[in-house]
Amino acid sequence: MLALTLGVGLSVGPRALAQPASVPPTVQADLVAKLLPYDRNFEKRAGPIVRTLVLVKPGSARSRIAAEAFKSALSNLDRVGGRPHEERIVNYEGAAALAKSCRSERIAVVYVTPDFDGELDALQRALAGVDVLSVSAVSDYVSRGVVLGFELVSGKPKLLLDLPRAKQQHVDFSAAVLRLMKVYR
Amino acid sequence: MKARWSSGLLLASLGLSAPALADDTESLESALSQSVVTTASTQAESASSAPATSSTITAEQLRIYGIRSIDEAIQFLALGVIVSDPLRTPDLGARGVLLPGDDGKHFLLLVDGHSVNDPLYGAARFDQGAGIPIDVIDRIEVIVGPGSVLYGSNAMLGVINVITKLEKDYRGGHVFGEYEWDRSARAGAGAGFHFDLFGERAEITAAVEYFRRFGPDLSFDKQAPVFSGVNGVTPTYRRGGPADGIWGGKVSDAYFAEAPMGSLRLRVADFDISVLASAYRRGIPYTYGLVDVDFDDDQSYELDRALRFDIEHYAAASAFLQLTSRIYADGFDYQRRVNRDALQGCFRSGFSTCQYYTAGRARWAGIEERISLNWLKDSSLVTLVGLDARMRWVSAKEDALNFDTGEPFTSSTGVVDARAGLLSPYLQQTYKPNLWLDLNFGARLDVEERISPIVSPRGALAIRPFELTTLKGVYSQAFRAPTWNETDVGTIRQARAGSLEPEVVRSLEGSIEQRVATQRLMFGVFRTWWENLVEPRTLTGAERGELQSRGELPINAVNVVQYRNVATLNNYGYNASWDGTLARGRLSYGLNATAAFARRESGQGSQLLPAAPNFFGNAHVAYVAGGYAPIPALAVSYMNDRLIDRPYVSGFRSTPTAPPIAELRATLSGRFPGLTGIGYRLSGTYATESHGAYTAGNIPEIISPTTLPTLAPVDQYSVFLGLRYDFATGDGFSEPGGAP
Repeated sequence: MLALTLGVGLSVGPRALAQPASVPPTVQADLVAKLLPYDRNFEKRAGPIVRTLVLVKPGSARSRIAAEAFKSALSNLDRVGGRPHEERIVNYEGAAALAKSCRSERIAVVYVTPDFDGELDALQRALAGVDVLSVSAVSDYVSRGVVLGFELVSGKPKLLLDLPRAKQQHVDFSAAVLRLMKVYR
Repeated sequence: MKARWSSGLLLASLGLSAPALADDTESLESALSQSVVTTASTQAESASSAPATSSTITAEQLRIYGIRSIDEAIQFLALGVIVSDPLRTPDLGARGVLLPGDDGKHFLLLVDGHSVNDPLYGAARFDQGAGIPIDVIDRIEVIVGPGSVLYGSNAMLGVINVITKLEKDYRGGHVFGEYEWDRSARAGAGAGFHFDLFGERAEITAAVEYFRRFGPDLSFDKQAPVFSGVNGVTPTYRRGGPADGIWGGKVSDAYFAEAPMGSLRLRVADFDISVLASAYRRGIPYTYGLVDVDFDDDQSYELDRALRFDIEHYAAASAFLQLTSRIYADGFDYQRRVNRDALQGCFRSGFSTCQYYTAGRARWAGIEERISLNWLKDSSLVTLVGLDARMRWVSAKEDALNFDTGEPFTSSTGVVDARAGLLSPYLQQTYKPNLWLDLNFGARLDVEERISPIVSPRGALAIRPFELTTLKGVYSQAFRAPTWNETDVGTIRQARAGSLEPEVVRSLEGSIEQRVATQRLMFGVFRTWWENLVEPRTLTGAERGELQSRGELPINAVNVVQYRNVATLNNYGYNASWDGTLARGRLSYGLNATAAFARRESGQGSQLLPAAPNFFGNAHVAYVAGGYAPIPALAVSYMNDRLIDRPYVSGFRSTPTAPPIAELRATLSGRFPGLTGIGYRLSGTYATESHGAYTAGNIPEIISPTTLPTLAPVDQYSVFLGLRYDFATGDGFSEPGGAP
């Protein structure tokens, strides 16, 4: 049985370490919903409906699990950023296609699931200048191309922010919330 | 149900207004202040919805409140657990139940989910003997109440899971040293770093620590020489000392300890590999129970040694099926050397001192497979099926030696050489259909050769009628398999018990938790029933004679105990806690309280439990100004009056009690400006009483039928100063609040 699990585990390829315990999807969704209004560009970006794209890496079960759980948690919320919302899981088909979708569909949030290690550079380049908040539960992804992340420190959820990336994607959090975050400058 | 009732009504009723989002971050701070626990159900979840009453002690709290061991952390910061120190290894209790001399048998100690209690003695240490460098602890999750549903034996009073840091939280190098005046010293080093291994990201966290206790001097009231001794010879209690029959005085050599320990954790891809190694040698500062030791003897001691391996692997086969595999192996050795005047201790006159040497060894290894079935693929309906298969080997013996020559003068007694398998399938079903309901049901079956198969069920329901309000109800059951030491050991002081029934505890609890901005209040009630409590019972003369006539007990055995299922316990009470932050998170505080009514029912009728307070708690407050400003922190623990540990020994004029006691610990910590990476902490502790609840010295009725017991002292004043150096820790992030 162990051998089976070893085989399955190693077949996916290089990626970030599995997190023994990460911030639960319900808590992530709650934090995103509460955090968005503190972005001074949120109103302009989102419009009347807050749209979230949840990215899935094709072939990755970990990515699919995280995506389904986050989407479910977000869709259970009445409001996200104080507004009606809709969220959609999409298979990742390349950074350029994603950037195009973000622009054309007025996407406010892109949620990056695990196993995107090899795509982060491309994502970073493609989303530069795009008006979107990229979010990930993988804390390592912040500072490698994702604007906002979550990590569990001593059993408490923490927010991580890549400030230069945030500026590139026109995300402008107020000082009041920056003091609650670990900020990468 | 997508729409939920607003919490506005409740907030209005509390006279509070909902925060204005644009300007106020209270709502966000509230979400960030909630604890996430993993121990209760093996998956990360908000503590408010977890199927148990829990509290989490963070690494930051360990640092700023001057904490140096797990028992101190629990004493000053945890909810629902009481710590009582007999100056050996601390006893832990919960919900009004504390069993003196328990050696941690009724709490399950986990390190990153790896079970530590050994099968020979069932023991777990919570002081430096736990063998976990405190610098590498990320958090301690304390679960109060039965927890066998996922973890099996020993989780009667609760489960304590020590979770170590990941590399991201321990990056760089770390060196520290602390000195406690006239008492102890501690030093250690650690490192955390990452690298690529065969194309995979890998990380290592490692730490070593050495602790040494050399004081303080302890003062014991002298006991009058009313005992005539063996063959009318007045006994001596000090090796080489006068035969004046006086026990007591100053202990300056026998209260010592040393504890080297190390941990190594390697994570690569989906593997998590850990190794823990430790030793813990400690003195026996006074005679207690059946351990009769020369007074202030620095060559009588106990020694634990442990080596633990764990390899865990996680694999997501699909969105529906995930597998977690674990292979583990543990080795635990125990030795005790107790020196005593030969005439009094072993009825020998040919030499001066005899030594009872007890040795025990336990080895266990196993494999655990856990399958997670994610039925709806969104983690809302998950079935967890697990199987833990374990093999255990134990051996033990006791020798009586001539202390001067080291030669045994009788053959070994208490010889145990046994092994047994353990097979434990378990199942847990969770269902979280929406934001206001969490269901968790499960059961575990433990099958081993020494006891009948036993089932440990649990059912839990959490409802959130308002966004920040959680109502919770939990039924749970746990057991403790009798240890080999209890069933198989037979010596001159302990008759072999043979078979014993496992102890079983059933618990019903309910709680309400209310969060208001950054404040969290919890109130819970519990009712618990214990059956088949295993205790050493002193044999009557007739019982002793019968065993002696059958050749099952040495003919010269006088004061003999035998482990038996002798009692049931009933207890009920409440837990309450309040914690929160103010001043933008700079001021943090917490308060925990437990009141419990516990009775022990046995052939002696209904009795209060020895040494167990019916009210206890703790409180803490700290102010983190940020920057280089020192952080002042104060923690207080309290327990009210309670019976002494042996209150029912016949002969006391009245049932003796120990007075209420509070311990206060004030700590100042921070970093030096201009000295990058160098930090300090200065801490002082004061106890309001000079004596605790543990009797010391001879058995009271033998001394005098009307004497008061001699109680072991409490170390009332202590101060320590520590320095640390953290280097190469940079990750480019600045911490919240701008701390350096």
